[in-house]
Amino acid sequence: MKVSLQRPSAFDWELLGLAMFAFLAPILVVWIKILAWPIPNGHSRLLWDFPCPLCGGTRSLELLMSGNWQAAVAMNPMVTLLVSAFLLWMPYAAVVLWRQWPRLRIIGWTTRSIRWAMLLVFLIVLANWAYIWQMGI
Amino acid sequence: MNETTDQEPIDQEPFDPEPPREGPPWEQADGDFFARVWQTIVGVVSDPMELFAQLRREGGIFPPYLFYLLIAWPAVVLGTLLQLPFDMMMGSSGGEAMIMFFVVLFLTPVFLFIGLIISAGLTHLGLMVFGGANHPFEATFRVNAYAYGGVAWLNAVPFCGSTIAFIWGIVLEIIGVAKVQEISTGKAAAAVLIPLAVVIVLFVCIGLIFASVIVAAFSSL
Repeated sequence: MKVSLQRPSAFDWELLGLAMFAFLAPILVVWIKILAWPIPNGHSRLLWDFPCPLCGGTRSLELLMSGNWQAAVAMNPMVTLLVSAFLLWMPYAAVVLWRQWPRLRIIGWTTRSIRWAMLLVFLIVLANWAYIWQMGI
Repeated sequence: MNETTDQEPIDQEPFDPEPPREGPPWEQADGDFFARVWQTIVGVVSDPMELFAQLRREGGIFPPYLFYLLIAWPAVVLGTLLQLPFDMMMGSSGGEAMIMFFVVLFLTPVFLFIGLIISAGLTHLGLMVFGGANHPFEATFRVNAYAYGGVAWLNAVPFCGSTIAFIWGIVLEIIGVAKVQEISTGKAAAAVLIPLAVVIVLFVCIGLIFASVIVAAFSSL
């Protein structure tokens, strides 16, 4: 498994990511900032008195949109880091699309490396959940 | 005596550069029922590029709809069931909540079919507008059924589950449309996202007009 520079052949993930952002971001901005409609709250804590792994996700998104990164991380680290990573990835995607440059790709995935990656994702979700539980979010 | 001359057409199979598509595990004749469902879900979630590259463009709309129904129906019913206590906390009586549950239980298959037809219709309209409809509506319908069906199990998670399923489903639909209609990523994204955005804007406008009419009616009282 290694990171490699490749010409997009089968599918352009950079274009897909930017298209999804162009579709979802205006919806979110209009919903929260312009129409000021309420965001449906999760009810896991209300019903069962324990949070779900995404508890505080929309609040951290709102904090992120108002530029309060630290408070956003404190609210839900996983959601904030995912959104921040996506926001950092976007300029790269825009540049490689515009310049038609080769794309960064992780190639040579083996069954073993896929299993390790899935375990890592599972552990991150679990750690985030434990944090939210501990902090009472 | 051989009567074939150079001027006569020679019967032969048309040249097809693409190898025949195998179809998803769900459409294979052999294998255990649950194994085929499971393998199709795993295929959609873990390797959508390969699954949609193998998706046949014909074969009817019933098998993909059945797959979608098998995943989405129990998930929607379970999601509604999990939401019942919350609805009752919000003021619904037990009777109202139970009626709502039975309405969901029996009408969901119809609504799922109508929803799938509308969704595929919108995408196909987008494909026609952007010049990407290389294959008939059936192919687009089949993509939609497997894309949204493969992640429909997320609807069992109340509130955020349906949102994640919707966004993930859109991504899968773009991949599927690009693979099945043999078009570029940009064309597929435009064909899927622009009609959807138009519909959302229309709904928001209708909602705002409706809300302003209600506010005006109440303020004149």
